[in-house]
This record gives sequence, C-alpha cells and structure tokens, in this order.
Amino acid sequence: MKNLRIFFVLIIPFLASGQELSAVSTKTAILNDAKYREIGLFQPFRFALSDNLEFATHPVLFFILPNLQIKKNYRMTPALNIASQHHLCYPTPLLKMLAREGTGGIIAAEFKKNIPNMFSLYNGILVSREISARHLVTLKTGIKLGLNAGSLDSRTSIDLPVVFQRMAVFYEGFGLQYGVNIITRIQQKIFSDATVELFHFPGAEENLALEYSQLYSWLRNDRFQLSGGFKVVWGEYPFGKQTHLLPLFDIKWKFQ
Amino acid sequence: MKELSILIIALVLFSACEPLVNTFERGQNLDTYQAKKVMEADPPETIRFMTWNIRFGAGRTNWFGDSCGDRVILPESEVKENLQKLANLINTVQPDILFLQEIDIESKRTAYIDQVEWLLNHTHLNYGVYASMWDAQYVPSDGLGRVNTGNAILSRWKIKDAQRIQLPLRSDQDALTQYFYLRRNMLKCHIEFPGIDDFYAVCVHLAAFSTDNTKQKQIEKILTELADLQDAKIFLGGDFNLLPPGSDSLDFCDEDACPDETFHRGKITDKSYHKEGSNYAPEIHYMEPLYQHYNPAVPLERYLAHQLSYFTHSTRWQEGFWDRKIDYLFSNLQWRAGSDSTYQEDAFNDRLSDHVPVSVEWKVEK
Repeated sequence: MKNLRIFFVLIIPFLASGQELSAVSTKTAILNDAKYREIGLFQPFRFALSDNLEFATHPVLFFILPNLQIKKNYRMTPALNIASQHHLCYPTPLLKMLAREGTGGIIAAEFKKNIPNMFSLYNGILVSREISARHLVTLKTGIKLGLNAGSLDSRTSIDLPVVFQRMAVFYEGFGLQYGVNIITRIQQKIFSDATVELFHFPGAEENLALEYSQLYSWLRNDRFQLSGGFKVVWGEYPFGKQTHLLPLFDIKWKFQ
Repeated sequence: MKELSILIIALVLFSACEPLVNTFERGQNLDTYQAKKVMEADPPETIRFMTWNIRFGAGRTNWFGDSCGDRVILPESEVKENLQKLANLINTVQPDILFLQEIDIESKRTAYIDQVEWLLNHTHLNYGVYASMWDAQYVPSDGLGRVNTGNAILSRWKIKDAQRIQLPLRSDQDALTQYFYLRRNMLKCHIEFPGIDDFYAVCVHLAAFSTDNTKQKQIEKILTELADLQDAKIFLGGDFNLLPPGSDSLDFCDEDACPDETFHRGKITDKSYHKEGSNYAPEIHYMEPLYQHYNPAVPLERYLAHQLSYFTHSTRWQEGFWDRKIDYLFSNLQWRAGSDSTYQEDAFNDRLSDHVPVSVEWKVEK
C-alpha cells in the first residue's frame, strides 16, 4: 500500500489532465482548442471552430453519405464537462448506390426506385468526469430520429452488425442510445478507450443491440495516433439474435 | 467508394466470430424438427413417397436467379401464401415420406421463415430433418443477404441418425466463386418405421449449372454411399438436374434463354455457345447407373414412350408447359406397380414451383 502511494505521488505530476486524456477519443464532452483539426483513416474530419464548438464530417463519404456532426461544450468545472452532440445524415445516395444487381449489390435492385429521401437526426448529451488523473469517464444519452419522405420497404434492411442498428431508425422512426466511455492512461503514450453502447428501439420487433468496443491507442506525439482493438456486437436481427466480434483499427493525424 | 464499402463489409464479416460462408468442412449438426402437433397413425400397408423441389416457396415468380426475372427479396405474405399452396397439395397427396429440395430455413429472400418448421406445422407430417446446401451469413451480391437453403426429409415417423454427405463441388468455377457458391449434399436418414429396422430415406439435389462432369462425380458419390447401406431398404428421391437416358430433347438453350440472350452462335466449342445448365447432351448417360442398380418410380420404357406426361420442370411458366424430367424417385425394392403420379396440372395451374412433385407407393414388406 505504501509503495502504491509512493508510485502515485511520483507519477501524478506526469499524468495527463482530463483534456489530455480526451485527446485520444472523440467520445467525450471535452473539446479541443479553437482551430484544432484531426482526420482519421475511418474517422471523420473534425475541426474546432472555437474552444467550445466542434464540427465534424467524413470528407470522402460526404459525397455519397452527406453528414455533419456538431458538438458544443458547456463546461462547468475543469473536472466535469457537459456537451451536447448533434448529427445530421442523409443516407439516400449511399443506399441507392448499394441497391444494384450483381456483385456488390447489398440491397436488391428491385427497391432502388423506392428508396425515399431520408434524414437521420441525433441529439444527445455527453457528461465527462475525470475520476482520477488516469481515468476519464463519459456518460452519454441521446435520441435519434429517422425522417423519411416516403415509405421505406423493410426488405431494404441491411442485416449486418453495426449497420443494422444504425439503419433501424429509418424503419422504426426513432431510437434511444445510451453509452459509457472510459479512457484510461496505461502508460505515458498508451491509452485504453472502452465504450459500451446500448441501442433501443421501443416498439420494434428487433429492439435491442449492445456494442462493446475496446481500443488501445498509441499517441506518438501531438500529431499522430495509432489505434487498434475490437468491437463485440450483440444484436437482435430479423433472423434472430447474434453476436459478432469485429476488428477495429484507425490512424489519426492531428493539426493545430 | 463502392469497392471500398464492399471491402470494408467483407473485411468486417470475414473477421467475425462465424465464417462468412459455412463450408461444412467440419460437417454439420443437422437441424431436426418435430411438428407442434404430432399426429400418430397406425403403420400403413403401403407407404407413399413424394419428392419436390419447392423453389424456396417462391412459386413461379420471376426470380432473378433462375427465371430471367428481377425479383430478389419476397415479402412474408407472399411466401406464406405460396407455402400454404404447397401445403395444400402435400395434404391432398398425403405422402408418408417427403423429400424436399430448395427449402429455406433462414434466408432474407423468403422473409427468414423456417420453411421446414412451417410445412411440418401445416401438413400431416410429424418429423423433419434439414441439411443445408448454402449457408452464408451474407452474400454481397444482388441484395441476397443471408441465405440458408438446402434439402429436407419430412416423415410421419421419427427420424434418427441423419447424416449430411457432401457431394463433389463444381469444378468449373474459380476459387472465390466456389467459396460463395452452393455445396450440394445428400441427406441420408434412418426412419423409425414400426417393425422395420433398416429403412433409409435419402434426399439429393445435384448441381444445376455445371458445364463439366461434376454431376457424374456426384452420381458416383451417391452410388458409393448407397452401396454402403448394403441390404437396407433404400428410398431415394430428389432433383438430379439430369434427363433420363434416351430423352428426345437434350438442348434447352433456346427455351431457357432470357430475352437479351442468344445461344448457338459462333463455334460449338465456345463457352458461350450453350447456356449454362441448359445443354444436357454431354450428360445424357449420367443417370444410367441409377436406372441399372435401382428401380425408378417411372420405368424408363414408360417414360420413353410418353415423355411429355412425366416432365417435371421448366424454367419459365409463361412460355409453355413442363418440358423436361429431372426429378426422380428410386428404390432398391419394387414400387407398387402403376402407383406413381406426376402432378403436372396441379403444379402448373397453381404456379406452385418450377418443379412438379412426383409420388409413388411401396407395399410394406417387413
């Protein structure tokens, strides 16, 4: 016990503050300073318009999946942060592209003409608290609305993990999301980023899904981050319940 | 971007807990079924067998894969309506043992209805066993999605020791296509018929579109497996995708051609000269060993004398009646003479499937 106290006394001055811990993840309520930008191999391009307002969009996907995310921070104390998060997405062009004959046809071509204009709008709250110098915990809750300009045939669903849960809102009208994220500094430049998310679609036949993702990130410097890990998805699908284990990998470049 | 999304989906699925496609390399734990309400009956003096390729309950809709159509994913209401029509004919014919091919248990194209369970609960049959020939978590083509389809045997009596025997794969495909493609099988099971210990029912469905000698290899495998049963009572039924030897018409390229297709152009050696699976000429002798070693429900002489009456298949119902026989019942025992039926009118008028059911009776010999 004494050794442990000595360890903390020695190490605490070198440990990151909440802001530094949040630098490895975009799932917290903490935002970066104005003019901060980052882009990932699979993550969207983020840019901080001011110290408490951040925009994000996936530049490559934008042309087939127009999307915009806004995060606004209402900082309360250095140890406790609250932010609101808003996503707008227009998946119609992507779905029409995936509705095709032959290899790569994810949706049957017979439905191509009947895919309406659709938008999803997510509004949520993030609360982040630094529970120790090494741990940052974020709680999340939100509601996602699916706004369709016409009826969408249920046979267009893509019954794959991750995708099915994110498209369900267009068939069910709305969905609720809850999540917990814990960032832990393991070593000076190595972080653990664990997230549990629950998707709930009240009234739907397939109304639950749970995702657990575990990422390990190496922050080489302020500008480069390498991440790898896995995601476990348990979900209800039209054919029954199923669990999948998926790999996660990303590279991020950051600019100030 | 399209390629990237396909790649990402494929990457995600390849790395999931289950393989993307079940290759059955470790065999298959066969799904066994029991009807909700078991209707016990006294052992009859004759047993009626029936074989039917039910085309996954799609009726005669213009499905993209086999009839030049554009339909892929059917609504639940349509599948159930078709299944009810199939059940009506099954209940009329009253087979004691039913061999089914192309029956879906968990496919997006048929609203994920377990058709073995559905048919058991809507017919007089009590027990079932299913062996998959195509079990893919996701087929990233034509919007097919999840597919699980195969052969089933439904019976009045309990089924035990069911076995899925892998038939040789098509050898005229590249490795990637073969990975995602169908894996034909032979479903063999022991029927617990009162007073008979060695009663075997075997259901098969052979390759449909192979252009080499795959079907011949599959027939050889079937014969080898049946020979292992030695003196047992063997009843074999299925869709062989082969014509009886001596059939008049062997080339159906024109009949099966889609509106934008033309065949019999160029050199006869060209790969595109014939439509895949429509030219039976090189395969016409493949069924001979079965006719030599087993008794067909429709004797060859009778078939050759009245071929039209025994046809069981056509690719497009709008353009005529049944035009070829590819569905058979065989046994190493004698069938009851003249007890066979080929239900051409019923299947055609009600558009039940692209195949006609065939039935025949066996007088019980203990």
